[in-house]
Amino acid sequence: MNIDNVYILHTFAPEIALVALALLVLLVDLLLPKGNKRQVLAVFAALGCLGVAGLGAWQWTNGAPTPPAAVQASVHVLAQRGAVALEAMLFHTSVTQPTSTAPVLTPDFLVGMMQDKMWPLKSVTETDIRALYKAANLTGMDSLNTTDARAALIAYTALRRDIVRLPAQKLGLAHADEAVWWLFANDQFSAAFKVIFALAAFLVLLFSVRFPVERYRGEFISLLLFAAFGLMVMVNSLDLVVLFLGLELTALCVYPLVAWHKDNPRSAEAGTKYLLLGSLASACYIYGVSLLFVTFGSTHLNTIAADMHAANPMALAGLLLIIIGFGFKVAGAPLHLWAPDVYQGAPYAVAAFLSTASKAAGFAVLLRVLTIGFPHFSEQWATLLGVIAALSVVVGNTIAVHQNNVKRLLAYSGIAQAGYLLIAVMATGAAHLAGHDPIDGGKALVLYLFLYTVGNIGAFAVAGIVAQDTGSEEMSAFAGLRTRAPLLAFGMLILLLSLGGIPLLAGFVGKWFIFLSGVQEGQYLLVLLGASMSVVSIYYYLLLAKQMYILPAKADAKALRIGLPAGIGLLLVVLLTVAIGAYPRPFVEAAQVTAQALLGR
Amino acid sequence: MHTILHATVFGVLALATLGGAVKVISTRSIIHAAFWLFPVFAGIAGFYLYLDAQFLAAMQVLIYIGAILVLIVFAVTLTRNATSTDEAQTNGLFIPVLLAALVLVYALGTTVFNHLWPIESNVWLDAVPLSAAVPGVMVTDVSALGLVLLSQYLLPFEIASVLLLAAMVGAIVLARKERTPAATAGVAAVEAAPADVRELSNV
Repeated sequence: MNIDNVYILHTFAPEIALVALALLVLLVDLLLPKGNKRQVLAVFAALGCLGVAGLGAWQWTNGAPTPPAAVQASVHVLAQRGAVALEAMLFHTSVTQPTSTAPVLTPDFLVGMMQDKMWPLKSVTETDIRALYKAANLTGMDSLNTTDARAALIAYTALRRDIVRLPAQKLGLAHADEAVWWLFANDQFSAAFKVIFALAAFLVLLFSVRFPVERYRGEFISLLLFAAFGLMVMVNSLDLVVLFLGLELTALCVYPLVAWHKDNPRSAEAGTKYLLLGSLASACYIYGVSLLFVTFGSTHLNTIAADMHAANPMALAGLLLIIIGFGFKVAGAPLHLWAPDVYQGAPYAVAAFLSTASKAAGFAVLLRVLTIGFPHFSEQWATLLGVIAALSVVVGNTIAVHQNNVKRLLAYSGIAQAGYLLIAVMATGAAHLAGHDPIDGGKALVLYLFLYTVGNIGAFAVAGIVAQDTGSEEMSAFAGLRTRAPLLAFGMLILLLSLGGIPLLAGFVGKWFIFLSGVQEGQYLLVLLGASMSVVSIYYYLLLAKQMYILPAKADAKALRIGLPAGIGLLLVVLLTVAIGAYPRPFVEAAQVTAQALLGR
Repeated sequence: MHTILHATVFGVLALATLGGAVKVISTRSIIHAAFWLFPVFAGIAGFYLYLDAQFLAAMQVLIYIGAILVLIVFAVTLTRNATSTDEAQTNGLFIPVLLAALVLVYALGTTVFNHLWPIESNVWLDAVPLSAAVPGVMVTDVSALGLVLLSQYLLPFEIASVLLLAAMVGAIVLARKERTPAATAGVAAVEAAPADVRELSNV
């Protein structure tokens, strides 16, 4: 094993562990006899996911990895070649302007030259030059080397527009490592989301132990793990096409998962609906990427950002299509119509995963793409996201009030939550526009995504347990849960109050930071709308609480059994929800560090 | 002479692609619509050839004509009423959708025509041919693709193979025929299908 492989193992430890776990589950499933033993498999996979989360946490604590020597060396070479290219350009100008004498090439001198008319490359900025010199460890050069100026210029252009732009061979680079370095972010931001996805998979698997997915248990688990892997690829990638690969990997795993109970027409319908609408969203996304490619000749976010100097209508069209794709993924109004039907038809475990981990990935990627790739379009995308946020908050909350089906209720509440989250994303754009530090919006987003993922999976799990026991998905199935399963009812009450944003619970802390980030950017109207609509949300969450605590149970109702794995999962979820609400400091600080990794520069 | 030839080739390809596409949506028989996809896909393959992208053209023929079109034709013939022509081609949303489509065409059209295409600015990047960078190796379009795919894009390539595996697992589960319908009845009951849905499944 050479040093490069060690580096890749180190950088992608959670992803590799997750894929290995999925393959292992497929294999073990073949060997196990049919029946209840397959439930052991779910517990095993859940524990594996906990291990993956641990690996992600380990990455997060270590911070961004330093590039291996091979990468550093080739960046160094490139930077030196770039400096030579600058020299050549200078020589060129000194020839055409005979009065100037050959000067010492310090960064300051070059920057001074840029202000002059004779600077040959208009698109090279001061930051480029300083970065170039810093990378090459050069303070200045005193010799004029004009040999092969053209090749040097190519090297310089490549450095500025990113190595991805050219085939490795053109640059004399052949290490796969370098591609890893340029295509994937590997920062604390993605590490944090790897933890969230692994945790979500862990919880979903724990709750799914008793769910009726007896047939193909191994395939069910492995598809769920592959989907989580796809989400990890999404949040980690810096290239829009690699991102698309992750997006499709997740989608292709989730389509069959939604239609898992294929004999149930509702599940099959949900699967078909999700397949058709999801493909449409993917098509929108990839069409947007193709427009960006024809504009910039690259799909790499850094390249796009570096080459975009003014608002370009073609790039704007591409961005719009990309936002439509993500808007579908996160189920923001008016792209939310699929969510209630799909959640209703999907198995509970899948609906829980879809409404949390998948949505979290959508938001994480949205934030990365918009802030890294499209800072020049902050005004446009912040406005658009503001409109989507307002629509989602209003539509989600008002329709949720009328729902009788618990899954649909949670779906509409999820749409409303997407609206709150979009306020945070929008705040980063507004902050960038106003020249403020965009960190607050990012921090609020990360924190809220974490607590929402944990809390909402818990809510779906309780709904699933009750539906499995009573055979009904209606709200009335919860009647008298207090007497039938006091602990379950209490846990659900806490989760619902947290989703509604009652103080001393996690949801309140999350909403507090989101609204704070909005207020700091002067988005009073949007924040007012969000805050007043979250009061509406407390009403329908309490409707469910009323069923559990005030209405009597049916006469023939028996005590409800939860099962140990789901009980442990629920305990964990409730404890986390209470902990974040009661003592938010460590969580807020962790979110701050995570957002800093993406937005602080 | 040269420009006339170019214009003719382009015109023929464009006519095949667009004409086929119009027939796909205007013909009443769904099987005819499926067959009209052929000139569309072939025309696009022709465009790729015309633009010197031989590999892409070969892939277009292999995947779109060889696999997707055949699959569509199979799916259509296995569906009932494949040859019926009395299905309605429009629904109540015809006018709003037409308006939305026109707005989209206008927006994209003006963008495309006003865009400053980066034909000139790429001069530096294309100045050195690939074969010059790797001495002694005759680099063609396809082999360059292979080199890049297995060096620079190795990791995405591996991710794509995981994607194919996952898709295969999902497809097998969905397509597999159940041997014992009785075993699945319990599942449906627990998942609590409402009465109307249960009736539907009995039909």
